[in-house]
Amino acid sequence: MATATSIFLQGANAANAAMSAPSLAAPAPVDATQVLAAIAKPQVSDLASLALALDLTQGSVRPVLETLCSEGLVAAVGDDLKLSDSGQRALRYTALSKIS
Amino acid sequence: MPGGAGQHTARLAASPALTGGGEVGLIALICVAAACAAVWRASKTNDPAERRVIWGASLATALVFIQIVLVVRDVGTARASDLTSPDSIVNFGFAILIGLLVGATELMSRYRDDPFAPLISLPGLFYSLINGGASALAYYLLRLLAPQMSEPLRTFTAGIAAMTFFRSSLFTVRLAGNDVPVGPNLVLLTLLKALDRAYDRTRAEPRSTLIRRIMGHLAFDQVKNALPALCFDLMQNLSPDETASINAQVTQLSQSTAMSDQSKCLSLGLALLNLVGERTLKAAVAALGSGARAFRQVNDSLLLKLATPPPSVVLDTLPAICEALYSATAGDDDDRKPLRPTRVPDLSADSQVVLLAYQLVNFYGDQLVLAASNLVKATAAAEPSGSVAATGAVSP
Repeated sequence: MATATSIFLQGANAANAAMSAPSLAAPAPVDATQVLAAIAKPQVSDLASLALALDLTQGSVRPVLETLCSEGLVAAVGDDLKLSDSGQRALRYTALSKIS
Repeated sequence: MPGGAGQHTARLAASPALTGGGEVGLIALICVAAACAAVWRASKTNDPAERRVIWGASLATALVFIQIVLVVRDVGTARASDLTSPDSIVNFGFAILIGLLVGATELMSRYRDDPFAPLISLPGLFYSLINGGASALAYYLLRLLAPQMSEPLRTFTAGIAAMTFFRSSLFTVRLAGNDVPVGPNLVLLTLLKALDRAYDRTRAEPRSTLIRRIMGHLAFDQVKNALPALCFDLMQNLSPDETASINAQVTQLSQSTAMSDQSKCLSLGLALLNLVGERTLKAAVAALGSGARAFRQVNDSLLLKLATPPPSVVLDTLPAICEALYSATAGDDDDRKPLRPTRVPDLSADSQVVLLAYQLVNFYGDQLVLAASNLVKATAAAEPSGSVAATGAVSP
């Protein structure tokens, strides 16, 4: 006994599955919080050491870093990277929101 | 009218148990007492479904009462063969009652969540009256065309024949791949569909409000298995087909990626409401307790945005911006009041911001709070440095 909702969902799920079929394997996005946490470590001071700490290429880290700089969370003086007050606050906020 | 149903009942009434006007008074007294009890009970209950059942039962009792009074009044009255004689009125009444009963049964089977509700709605009353009218017409025609037919056979034949006639088809036509039976049933079928749709529309709004109240705060993943199982266990006469249809719907909702968690909850709730009714669904949700409540985790991207302005700015401006955005996007009939976040003064400034984020996200949703946080950030960036609490101290 199929209800109208069941029939609709059957069609909608099939259509969504067809639309969201993966075409190319995209690289995993870099998490901004992970980048902030890495910059907070004393051994990370520039882009090269940051990429090394995250086990990623500099090319994949750079866009995230640029966003964080434009947001005012990371202060970049020359090649040196440092968390701003806002960046440190962001790390504290994310730590407070972790449930496990 | 010799041999009429009235005469038949007169024979019954001539027995010591039912002998005249005293019985009418007794029946009237019982009915008035029942009506008073129904009104008292309806005024006591806050449950709209129960109130509808009481009013529906009262209406049915009133009809039966009228019929009984007509029968008893018929006793000892001079009978005439014309249509306005008490005997004829009684027989008409019986035929109409058969029609009303069949129409009412048909309507009750269509709305399983609240079977008595359509009976006291305007479309439902209209449909039942049409059925009653058809039986009355059949009785009138039988009196004219088959005067030799005896009572009560004529009354029952009229009642049943009218229902059979309006539900019969003469031939089948294939339209757009579907077999459509064509005959007198088409009249009643078209009417039923129109009234059905009209009644369905009137029920849509209260059902929407009701389901949001019962299911709006639940997490789909927490209830998708427990709630149907509990409802099935609470009910004792569900068929395997009915439970299978809910299970299929749960599976499809779980697989759906395009629906939000809340929409899935509402859809599941409506499916269960149709099957088990309002009270059982409410009882099952109450039994699940607070473990079934939805709890939205605050995502990191929102927290990063909230970190840019000082905490005092976030705490002072974010709730008001969320409220303004919510008012702008709320529908005309959205009666939910904006959130007044609770502050816990003993917490640190950081914890207060995270607590506020939790409260706002769980009330308004991620998207609205994210949009509001963009505005807070832009406001803080535009403020002269002296005008915001750069130290991050929380204003009292």
